[in-house]
Amino acid sequence: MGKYFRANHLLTIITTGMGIALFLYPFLFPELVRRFGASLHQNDFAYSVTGLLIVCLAVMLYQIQAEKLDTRMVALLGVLIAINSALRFLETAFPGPAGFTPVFFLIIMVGYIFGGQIGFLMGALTMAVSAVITGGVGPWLPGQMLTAGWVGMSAPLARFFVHMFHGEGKRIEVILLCIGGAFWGLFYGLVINLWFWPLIAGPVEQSWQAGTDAGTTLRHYLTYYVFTSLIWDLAAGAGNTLMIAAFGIPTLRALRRFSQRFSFQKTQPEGIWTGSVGGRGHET
Amino acid sequence: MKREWPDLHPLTWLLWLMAVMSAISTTRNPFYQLLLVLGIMVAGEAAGRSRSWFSPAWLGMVLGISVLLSGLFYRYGNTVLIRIPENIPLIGGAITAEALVYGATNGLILCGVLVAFALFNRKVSYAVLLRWIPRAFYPLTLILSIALTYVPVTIRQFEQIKEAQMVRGHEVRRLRDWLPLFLPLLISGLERAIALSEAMMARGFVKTLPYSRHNTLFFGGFLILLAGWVVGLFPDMGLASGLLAAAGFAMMGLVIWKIGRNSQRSVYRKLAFSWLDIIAAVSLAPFFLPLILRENFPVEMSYSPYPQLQLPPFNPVVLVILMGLIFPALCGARDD
Repeated sequence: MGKYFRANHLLTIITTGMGIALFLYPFLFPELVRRFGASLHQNDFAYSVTGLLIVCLAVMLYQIQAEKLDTRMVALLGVLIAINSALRFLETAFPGPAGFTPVFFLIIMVGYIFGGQIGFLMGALTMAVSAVITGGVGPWLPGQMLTAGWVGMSAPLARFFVHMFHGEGKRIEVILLCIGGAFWGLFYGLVINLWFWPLIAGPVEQSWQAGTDAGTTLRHYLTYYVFTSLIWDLAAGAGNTLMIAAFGIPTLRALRRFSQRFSFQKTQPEGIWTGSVGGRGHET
Repeated sequence: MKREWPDLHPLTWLLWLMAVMSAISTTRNPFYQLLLVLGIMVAGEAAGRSRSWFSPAWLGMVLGISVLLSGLFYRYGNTVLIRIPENIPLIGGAITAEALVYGATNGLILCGVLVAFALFNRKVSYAVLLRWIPRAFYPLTLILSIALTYVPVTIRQFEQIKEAQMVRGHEVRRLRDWLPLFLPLLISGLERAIALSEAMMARGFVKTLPYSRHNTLFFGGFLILLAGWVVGLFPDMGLASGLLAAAGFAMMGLVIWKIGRNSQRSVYRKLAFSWLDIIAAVSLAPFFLPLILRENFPVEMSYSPYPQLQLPPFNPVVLVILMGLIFPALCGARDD
């Protein structure tokens, strides 16, 4: 069993690393052409990247469902994803700035309390459900699912710092989660834009140009990001921070209480007969 | 007028979507792209009116923004239309006709993708989308089913909580005032999850995906697939890359098929193919020819407005092929 878990962690690292590398293809592709004389055409490359993103997502989902999903987690995730998707309907009612979405609040909270793998499922499946109910299924969905999954998967990293400051249940815990929320508000947009950026037209100094080196491509992308998305994503980051600051402590308390109820284990006292009536039971 | 014909099979709609995406990706000729968008719009209208459908004004706005951005920021092309003083930052310089046409093509491609997926989402229900998820992923499908079932319940419960709090004199003025609405929603949801999990356990739902050699085969297949992709980055390694990728893909597919065989799925409403599906599939077949024949496709599909704008070529055969897009929508049942 120990070997299985180690192999699984290694696979999570490989799949996540591969996903990150695929998102970074606008920077890596020209370098690959220059160094190795890559034979793929740009369009073929874009298609293969989208295909591999779907495969990476499928591998992550398969691995997590094989390891983590039992009846309680299936029911918990189903209901929490329903709440989160409903928040998407209600997001116009929340007094947030443009770009603000309440969806990431619960993804971060669930990832932090229930662990990275459950956080990944929460993020990825929330995007899938809200795409289905809003008619937003499209080629952009695998990238959104993978990135939202990373939001949930990275949330437990905050635990390390919380332990460092002995801050469990204290205000510092919420402050650290606020920092995480602000980071992901900005970073989610930065990652998602990468999926379509090479395919769109724009000013030369903000566009992807075949044959330019990684440094120039990065400069072009950051210019594009600052001009088109930064204000939007700043609002998203500020919204996440405000939501965690306002609702964080009671939500964490509620999720902690329920995580204990969801994680109970069956134990069998010694000497209890476990066999069926008339069957070949045995004593433990 | 009520149409008596049966609705098309969801797989026919999937084929329709693939045909549209194939057409979008094989040409940058603005005439063909415009015809494609118009074809999808006509298909959408033929399939019935829906509130979620794109209005021509909205698509015109997307197109206009794309043309404007391209015209203002792209400086390539020989046909100068206007010169904006160079001392104006960012937009100073020549606006060329080539840049406007380039922007229009990009806008049309974006509009095509948006309307095609909007129509597909309208015609294929989420129950069918869930059924398409391989059976090996049944715990995930179950989560999605639970979530989709509980969304309306959750919204209804939110309204009830809101009304109950209003009766108590609660007013929502700032962000913190949402807490008495959000927290009861979360806690009642979690209580419902516990009740649901107990009900599932009582009915015999158990985790049936133990660690086995299947998983090793699945992850091995993934690593071989990745290796095939990496090998494909090197020149003249196409065959080796294809073989590796196919082997990896086959291993993963085999595991998904084998695990899927162990899980039962109840189908309450069987979807059947009809003769209309066959006609629709035949009418969509020509859309895949440019992808298969590539350079040997008899109609010129490539076009670039740079460096000197020229009238894009137009072949009436394309118009005939595009009629195939509208046929499925004309056949199927209307939404209204």
